[in-house]
Amino acid sequence: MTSAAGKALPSLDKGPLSLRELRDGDRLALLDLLDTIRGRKALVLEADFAAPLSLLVEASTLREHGVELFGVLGDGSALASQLEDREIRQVVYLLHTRLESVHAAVAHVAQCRRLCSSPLEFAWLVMPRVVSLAPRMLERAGLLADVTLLPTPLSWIPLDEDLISLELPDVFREWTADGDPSSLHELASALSSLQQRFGAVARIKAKGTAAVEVAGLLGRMRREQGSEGPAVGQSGIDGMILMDRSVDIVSPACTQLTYEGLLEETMGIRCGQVVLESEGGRKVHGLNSSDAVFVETRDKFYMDARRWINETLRTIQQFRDQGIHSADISALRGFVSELRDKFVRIPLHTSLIEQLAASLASPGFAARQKVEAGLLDGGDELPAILDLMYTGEGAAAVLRLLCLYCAVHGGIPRKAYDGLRRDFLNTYGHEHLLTLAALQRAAFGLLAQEEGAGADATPDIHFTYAGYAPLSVRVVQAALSGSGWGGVEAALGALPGPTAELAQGRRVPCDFLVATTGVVSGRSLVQEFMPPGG
Amino acid sequence: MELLDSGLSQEDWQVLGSEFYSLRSLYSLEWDKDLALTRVFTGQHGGPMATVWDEAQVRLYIGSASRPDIHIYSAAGRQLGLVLWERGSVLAAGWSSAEELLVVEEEGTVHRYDVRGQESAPPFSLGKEAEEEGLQLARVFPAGVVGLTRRGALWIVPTLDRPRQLRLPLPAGANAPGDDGGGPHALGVRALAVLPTPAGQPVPSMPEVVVALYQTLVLVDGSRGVPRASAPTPGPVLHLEASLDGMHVAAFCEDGSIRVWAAEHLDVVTSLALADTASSLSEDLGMETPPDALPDALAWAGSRALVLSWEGVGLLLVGLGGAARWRAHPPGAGPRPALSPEPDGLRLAGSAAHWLLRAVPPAQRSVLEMGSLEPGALLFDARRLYEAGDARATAELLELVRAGTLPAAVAACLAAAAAELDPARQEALLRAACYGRAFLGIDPALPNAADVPGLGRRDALEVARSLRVLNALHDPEVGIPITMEQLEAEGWEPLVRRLVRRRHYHLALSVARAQGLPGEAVLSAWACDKVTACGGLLGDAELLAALKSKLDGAGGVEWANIASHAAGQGRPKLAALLLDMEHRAHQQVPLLLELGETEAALGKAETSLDADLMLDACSALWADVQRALATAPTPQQSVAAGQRFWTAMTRHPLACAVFLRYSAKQDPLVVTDVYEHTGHPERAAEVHLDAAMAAAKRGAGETAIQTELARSRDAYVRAQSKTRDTRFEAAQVTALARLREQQLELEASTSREGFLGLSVTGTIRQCHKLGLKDAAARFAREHKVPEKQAQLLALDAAAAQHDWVGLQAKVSRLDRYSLLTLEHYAHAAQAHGAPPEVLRWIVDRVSGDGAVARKA
Repeated sequence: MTSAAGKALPSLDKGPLSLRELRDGDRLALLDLLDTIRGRKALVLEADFAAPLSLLVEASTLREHGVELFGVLGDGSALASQLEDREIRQVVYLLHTRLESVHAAVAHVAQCRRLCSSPLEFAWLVMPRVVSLAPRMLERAGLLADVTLLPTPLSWIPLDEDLISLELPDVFREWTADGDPSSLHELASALSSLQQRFGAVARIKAKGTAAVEVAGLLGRMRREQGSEGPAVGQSGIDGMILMDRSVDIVSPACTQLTYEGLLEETMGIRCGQVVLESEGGRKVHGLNSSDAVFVETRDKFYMDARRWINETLRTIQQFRDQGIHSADISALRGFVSELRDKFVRIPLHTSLIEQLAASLASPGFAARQKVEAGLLDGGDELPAILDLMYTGEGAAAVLRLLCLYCAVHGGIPRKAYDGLRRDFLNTYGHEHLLTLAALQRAAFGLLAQEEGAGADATPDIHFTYAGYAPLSVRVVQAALSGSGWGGVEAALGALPGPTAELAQGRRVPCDFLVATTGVVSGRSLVQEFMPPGG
Repeated sequence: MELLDSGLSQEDWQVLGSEFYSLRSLYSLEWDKDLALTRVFTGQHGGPMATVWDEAQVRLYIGSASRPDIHIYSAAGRQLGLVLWERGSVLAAGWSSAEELLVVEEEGTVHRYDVRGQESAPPFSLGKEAEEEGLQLARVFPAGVVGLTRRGALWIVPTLDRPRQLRLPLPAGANAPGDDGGGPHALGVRALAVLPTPAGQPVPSMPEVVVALYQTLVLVDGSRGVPRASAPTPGPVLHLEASLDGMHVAAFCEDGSIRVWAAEHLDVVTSLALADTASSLSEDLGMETPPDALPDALAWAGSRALVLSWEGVGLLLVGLGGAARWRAHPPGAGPRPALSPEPDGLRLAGSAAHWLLRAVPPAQRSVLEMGSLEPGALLFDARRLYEAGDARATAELLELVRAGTLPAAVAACLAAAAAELDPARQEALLRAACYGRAFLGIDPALPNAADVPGLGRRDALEVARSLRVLNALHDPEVGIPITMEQLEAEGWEPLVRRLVRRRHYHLALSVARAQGLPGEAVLSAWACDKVTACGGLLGDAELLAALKSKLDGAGGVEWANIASHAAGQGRPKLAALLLDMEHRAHQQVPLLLELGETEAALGKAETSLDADLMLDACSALWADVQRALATAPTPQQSVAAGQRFWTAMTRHPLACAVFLRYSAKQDPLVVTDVYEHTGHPERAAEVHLDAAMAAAKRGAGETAIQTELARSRDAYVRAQSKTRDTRFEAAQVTALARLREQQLELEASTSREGFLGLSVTGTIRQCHKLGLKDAAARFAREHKVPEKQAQLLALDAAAAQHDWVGLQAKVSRLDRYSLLTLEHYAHAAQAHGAPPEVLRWIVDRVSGDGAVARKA
């Protein structure tokens, strides 16, 4: 694990629901499970679960509970030799019941057994419950008798005051391209457990095929629970809006121009954390609403954020130079508390902004921006996209622009289609035939061929709004306006996917908590479909 | 049931150190057992007793002709079940925490029976070594079994849910021969004990075991290769027992000493020689010298005292502090009672009576101790006076109010009532508590009695309700003499399950409802029993109606369980009827699979969207098909079997997707098969292409890659149909195959490596780098690289070689028909670090509209 210094966890007190309770309960459950495995142990995680786990429990706490070694699924030879050296016999795996994870864990167990001369004890903490997949795959590998399976009821990872996530990778592709609905059931179970904790949700609205399926599953699960199910809580969740990612492909495909958005575009924020390379190695910095500077700047346009930081610095400096002599005690106290909140975070943000400025200055960024802006104005930017491809822009960036093109124009003109695909394959390699096929299969026209000649005549609903605001936000606005969809049913009809409504009780206005299977950004949107390492 | 005199003297209190121990009769037993010839294994928390002839003793008296059947009795001596034992000799037995009788054979096999003597789960073994060598010692503990093989390997089965054997490490000395050399005890290990988990703590996956080696005690667990702690013993250990809270270990050594260690690091807590007990011996038993014989049993009475029993002599109580008292065996207990430790005491079952010895709970002591002046005792006294119509009652009560100790008095009386076993005295204590509670309001400091925690009306009600249940359980017909403290350790739900297993359905249901627990499990168990009991007497429809009349209206009945039971009883039709009542997919699907209704299961699984169920159903169907294919006598039949699978997959696309993702990891060959047969050859083509790319990445032979590519292309060609246009894909796969060939040729002709695996533009770039202009042009032409891209590639190559003169020459030839613009040249020059004067020269030539902006 990377060094945890400089990392701040969200406080989780200020949000609409008491997420701290959720986090503390999950932490306790996990540590209790770890304690049932006596002695010194090694903990093996899914490669992309280290960051989410660090939001739940710190590495030092895990050490207090006997975890002396950390490893990730994948090549286990390094871990095996460490196990030998330090005479650790207990190997604990923390993994989801996903096919990929279980497959990798089976291979890892087999490798550790092969490489270690002393007998090892394996325990799998399977989130969120043990299903037959794990025993089945262990049995096929002949390892069933060697591994203890323990259900670990963890699902939601609180990323911020008002954001919880399942942190399931590749869900979008699995559902849209592979047609595998496992994640829908997973999500419905997790939402159901959320209702167990916070009370049943009075009203559920859904937009999109998957969302309608999940809403149906939620209703079914509630029926199955019968009298044991949660009651509609007074203090809990009043309404739930389920939405498919495919309802709004445009938003993630565009480059976000806020400070937070640009940080995500250039450096990649994962689980409210950004990783900076420095001479001392990698360092993880928390970026969430416990950071006073970030709270002020995250949603500002990048230049405004920069100006805000400069002005804050100047105010502090002015106060120090002049005001400090004439200020009374309460003003001083205010100044000191402001210093404590903001000043400590400012150096980090100044360095982040400097790095941002460097990557924004590259010619590619400006060119991509131009194409995006043109597309959002409804322009035909296909030649410009081709030009970017010819001048050596990365495959992911080009695909992202093509997705945006399709979302805007409803597909790629038939006459340009084959040529475009051929150029793409010629430029980035023929293995991307698979990427293109997966994107084509993904529902709702990622890289679909334009249907028929009259496509231009269909009303372009994405641009019923003057200036672009994220479509998903508009849908939520509509959903909140009382029962039904507040008069925009016609517009919704033009969006992909059916709608559904499920009333379980009365409804009152409320704050928002966002629950997701994983945070999708423009980068991850396309990356999911590309071959691993491609 | 035999009670001694009524009133306060029915319990016999004996002081030990600072605590009192009481002895009270639970039941008179009519089981007519000679305990000298019988081994008794008792369960915790008022659990059942299993008896078997003690073969070592029986052979001496009546020979081995008699079959050693295992009888199971309730604590009240009513027979619950019988196991006809036709196997080898019983090495050890005991009850699990789920009240399952585990019987360990010498060959290491462990048989499992429920309280009615029915086999509850398949037997398991303590491992190959145990089977080959045989066991010399074994011990059943609530979570599992531990055993020691004859050659000295310690094996443990730490959980019973999915039994698996683990070997525990023993120190090197474990295999050293003991002093008696030879015989079954030839090895160093003399005794074993497993440390219980204290109540309320998570049960560890690996319990700790204390092993008495020759004159050493070691503590081992599975987490490390060496023992965690060790301690010397004064002599070879004869009896070894861990206290039920897991904090202490006690041993009786052959030299006549008794020693207690703290379990954590095996530090000595108490050490006592028999000679030290002489004063109590003469006082309590009237004997002058301690017995020379060895004690026949050692057991903990609660967690703060242990009891040793000498045949024909009596019991010796030893406290943790080292206090020791003798007492005679109680009447009816016989010379050699069976001892069963409980968390708060010890049960002694003799040939004619069953006794409970326990530490008097503090609350009871404060209220009931002779001459006690505690508030509780005063309140109890006041109530007695009140009932006798004595005016002094008020005076005593007011005294309590004035001293401000009335709440404490009420609490003490309530707690004493909860701990009491005698119904008459429970009532007296509850009355006293209610009497005091009524006056709580007098005290101005306590305006509202209901607000005092622990003293509200609900609390008194709760105690009374629990006591009613306990008294019902104590009834000899039920025979579970559980105390309130034991019940708190066990919990209500396990208790309900115990009642169900004894077929006390009505009582179980009442208890469950009174405690607000779901009663569905009780009803389901009853229904299963009903199905079995009916046999063929009732028709399917009538039986279903009978069951529905009782179970309808109770939500959450697990119909699938009942259906599965019916199927097991050979009534598949009834099972199908019952299954229709079930609406939970995760219950339905496994049973449908069991009943062979694979396609129906697949449908149910798909509507539930539960990937796990879909995978189960698909795998079962696939296994069916494989079996059919293997046994099909004619090719037509095997085709039909396959067709069944393909149809099911086509009909259930979601399940198919789940199955395919699973198969992609486990049997890649299945995947292409499924795609081909479900009308998706283009997906099969992708799988082949993926395989080819993976092979290329691995560096596999070119022939293998080309084969996969050819398969991919063929599949794409097959996929071409009216609704699907895959000509482009097929052409591209062909182009890729050709590209690889060309790259290989180029590598051969130029004897340079690094072409293979590049994209088309990558290859062209490489050609430019090596100066192979013709080859570059050929690739561009053949793969239809647009002219503009080709020019850009050439430009980039020129810039990379710093051919600034050539670059400038090209720039000067630019006109408005050119595909490239000045910016392209400027960027390329800049990217490859052109000298400033070249850059400026290019930029200066920018002219026309917006020239200034473009220059920037």
